[in-house]
Amino acid sequence: MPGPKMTLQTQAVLRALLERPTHELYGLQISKAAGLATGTIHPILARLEGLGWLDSRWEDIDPAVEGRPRRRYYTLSPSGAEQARLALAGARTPIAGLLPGLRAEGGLA
Amino acid sequence: MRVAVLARGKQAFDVARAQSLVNDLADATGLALQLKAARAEALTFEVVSTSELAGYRRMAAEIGRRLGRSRVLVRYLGLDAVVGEGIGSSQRRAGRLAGVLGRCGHVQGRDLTDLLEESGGLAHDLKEVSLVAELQLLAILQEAKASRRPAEAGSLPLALAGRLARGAVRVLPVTARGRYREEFESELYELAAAEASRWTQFLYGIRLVDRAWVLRAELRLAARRRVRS
Repeated sequence: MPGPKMTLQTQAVLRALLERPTHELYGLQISKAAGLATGTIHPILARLEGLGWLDSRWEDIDPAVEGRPRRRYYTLSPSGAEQARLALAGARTPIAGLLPGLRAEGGLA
Repeated sequence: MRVAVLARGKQAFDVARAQSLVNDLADATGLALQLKAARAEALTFEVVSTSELAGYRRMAAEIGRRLGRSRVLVRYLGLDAVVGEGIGSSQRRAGRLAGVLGRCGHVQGRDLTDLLEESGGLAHDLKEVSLVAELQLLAILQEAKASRRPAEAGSLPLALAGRLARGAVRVLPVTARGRYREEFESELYELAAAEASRWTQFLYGIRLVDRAWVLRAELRLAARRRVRS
């Protein structure tokens, strides 16, 4: 199965996830870590999840008890992490140096 | 009207569930009243056909389904157990009604009055339990509004952003809508909780709408891949 088109945004998302490959992150955290605007990454996440590079699950809480909606957490699958590393290594447009300048300001954890 | 009151005083995700509960109870009550009306008219019928009986049975079964969903929502929303018990009792009654109607072929009109005997009590009970549930919902929301600390006042998601998010969800394949509705609501809630400005929340909603068709295409592509593999 061919990998995803390695757009700058896709690379940014993969690099953000690879920074802490075992950590689960929800959408806004990924946006912030990748330096992308909120509300823009769901197509990328859906593509990566469809390819089996990402796993996602609902946060295991009772919204009624916590008083907030549950989050959707994403993490790289074991094979996805490996494929992401390879894909980033082969990507023609290295963006690591651009990331700090792209990072969004904001106070989300 | 009541739901509009709820919408001004509570976070969007609770309002959606409160609205579902109010709607389900209202629909169940409406169906029970229709069955009650059919019973009142039954004496004027010569014969009630099998298909008419099947229609009444479907109505009773639908009441049962809506009440089953209502019980889950009552627990989720933290309403008093007595509301759940009242709904449970009505759900059993609707089940009995559906069972009786399902066992009959065509009958005389006067027989239908016996078959639908439960409908009057069912409609009465549902009107009462709906009223109690709505009063409890309003009380909970009033309490939530009164106890909200000043710092939390700005943490309610922007309603317009919520509407945009729901609009974006409508573009998606049906099977994915539930997931993304909840995911977008959650993110909007997180934005609001992090004191993001109304403008930031608005932009979030706009971007969701802007990318909804791309997300739809990705989801459909992923579904096709799953079918092929």
